[in-house]
Amino acid sequence: MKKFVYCFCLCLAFYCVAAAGYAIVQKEWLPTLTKAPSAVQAETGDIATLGAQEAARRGFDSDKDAVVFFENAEQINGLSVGYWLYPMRIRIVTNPDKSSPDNSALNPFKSFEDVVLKSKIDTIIYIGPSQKLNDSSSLLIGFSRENILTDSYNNTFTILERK
Amino acid sequence: MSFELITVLLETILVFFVCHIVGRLFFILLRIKEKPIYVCASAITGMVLLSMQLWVFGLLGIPWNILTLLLPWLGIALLLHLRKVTTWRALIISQVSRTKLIKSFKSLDLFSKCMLVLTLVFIVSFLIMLAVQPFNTSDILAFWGYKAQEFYVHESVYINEYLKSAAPIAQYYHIDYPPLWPLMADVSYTIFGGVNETLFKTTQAVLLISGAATFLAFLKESVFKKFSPAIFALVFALVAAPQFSRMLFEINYMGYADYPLAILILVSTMFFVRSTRQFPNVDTWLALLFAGAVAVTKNEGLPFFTAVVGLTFLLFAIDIIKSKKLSKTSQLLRTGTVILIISLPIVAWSYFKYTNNIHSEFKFSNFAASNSSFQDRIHTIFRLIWLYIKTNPPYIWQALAIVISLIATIWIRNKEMLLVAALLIAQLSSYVLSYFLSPYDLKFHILSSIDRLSSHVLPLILLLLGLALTGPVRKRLTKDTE
Repeated sequence: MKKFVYCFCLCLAFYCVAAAGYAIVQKEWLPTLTKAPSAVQAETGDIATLGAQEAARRGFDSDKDAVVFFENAEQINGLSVGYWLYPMRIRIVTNPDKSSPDNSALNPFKSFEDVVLKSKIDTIIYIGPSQKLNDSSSLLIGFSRENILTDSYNNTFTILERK
Repeated sequence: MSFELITVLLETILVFFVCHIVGRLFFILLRIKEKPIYVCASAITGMVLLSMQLWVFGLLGIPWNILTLLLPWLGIALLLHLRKVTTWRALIISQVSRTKLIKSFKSLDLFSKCMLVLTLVFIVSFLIMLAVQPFNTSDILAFWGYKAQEFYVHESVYINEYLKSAAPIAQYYHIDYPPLWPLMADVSYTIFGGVNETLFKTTQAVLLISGAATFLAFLKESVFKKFSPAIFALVFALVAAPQFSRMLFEINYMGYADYPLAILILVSTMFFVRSTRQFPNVDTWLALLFAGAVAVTKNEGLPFFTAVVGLTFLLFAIDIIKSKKLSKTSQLLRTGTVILIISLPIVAWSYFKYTNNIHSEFKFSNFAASNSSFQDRIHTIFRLIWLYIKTNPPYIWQALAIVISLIATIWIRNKEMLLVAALLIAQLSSYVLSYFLSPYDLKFHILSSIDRLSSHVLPLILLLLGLALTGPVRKRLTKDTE
């Protein structure tokens, strides 16, 4: 029995070597070792992910700040933004027409206009179509606008702060 | 290699070093003689202790910073130094690591050397991959990463009001998952004074390095007289088994909390096995400590903790029946006290879930609602498990390893192997039970979770194979501890 287990252990080791070797070749793995460290996936154009990152980096306060997501940016990797941002102290406001039931529980405002006009929120991260933001420019008097990025879908990632 | 990467690696090494010293101090406090297994387990012990310390600090309102975190341990080190129990030098570089181990490694055969080198290459590669690959799925961010950030920002185990105010949603987002792994990341955040999610990922490597080294030391001292090729084959398999090496090759799944859980299960079991020769001793308490850590790392750890506690009492009961009198009353009381203390965080977390209306999603009513008979449901579960195994080569090996290790256990029938087998069967049974009570479609649930669940028990299978190679743990171990 012991000899059999001994042989099995050695075979297991050889199998592990073979499996790892196969994976290295198959997945073209070695070049990844030369990459720089990174914390969260943020490919160019993945503006919603960047928004989540930026909000996290800034350590938003739920009493003052909000993140507004609209339309194309509503999902990250197929999941609602609420899924990604739940554990953070952030108010999440999505397009009311498209917001999922999950998000609606967290959504104290009905629209972007609501956020701007009715809330006492100091900082808003807007992620959505640039057209919508431009249309709302009359609402944004009294806000500074820091445009960080626009992606290929014409979504903008903009930080709006009350002056 | 970028400067940024080198910085992260150095920071991880520093965290490892701090945890190692804390673990060493803890062992010295418990008056444990210096042995390779304790030296190797120091880092993982230190990590568990520091995480628990942060948890307690949060409850007491003590701020989280490097001073509050490490000052108690510096005080203990100073006290031990003044009382000449240990020296600074001995704390940093142990006598064991300096002499005996290095000599033993020099006399290795070629196969063992190759296995050792490959193991080290894998571990270094893990560390680099964990640093360079981003979090790429929602789970690790929502369940774990942001929790670590939340805890750090609030300096306590804290779940934000939005989650608490929406209980059904909170359940969906698994805020019921226990806090130990995020707290481990918080140890790094506290040492460096800020959130760094790259360090969160590399925490896994700290546990893996310490766990693999402890496994090596255990096999060497408990099972084999000398280093044997089989030892290195098993340690290599622990690090490089396809279930584990996914950390290298699949950035969508780089271990999450499953690898820390697997390593903690392994370390707990090794100490439990070690404790059987002179039961109960300090190894029993260490086994219980790590089993407690398993229970507050993931919910899947609760059955493991229950099994370890149950087996501890079973060993006491066997002792009483054999001697026909309660000969170990004081040890029983002491062990009972240890269990009570270790249960506190588990009870605290259960109380938190209860007060926040977070209930287990695994209920008998789910089975009733499935409109299938007991036999049908069990048949479906095993059919789907078999479907997964037969279509995934790494799991064919694992299934084979389970069968061989259990046959070897029946064949050899020693106390140590029976204990490990009992823990393995208890853990596997709890997974089958969870599938039985699952609210989800079984096909989805089993096929999307069996890979993670099987990685929890893989180290136990390797341990069982190791124990099968030479039988009982030799008696020369019995005087290791007081």
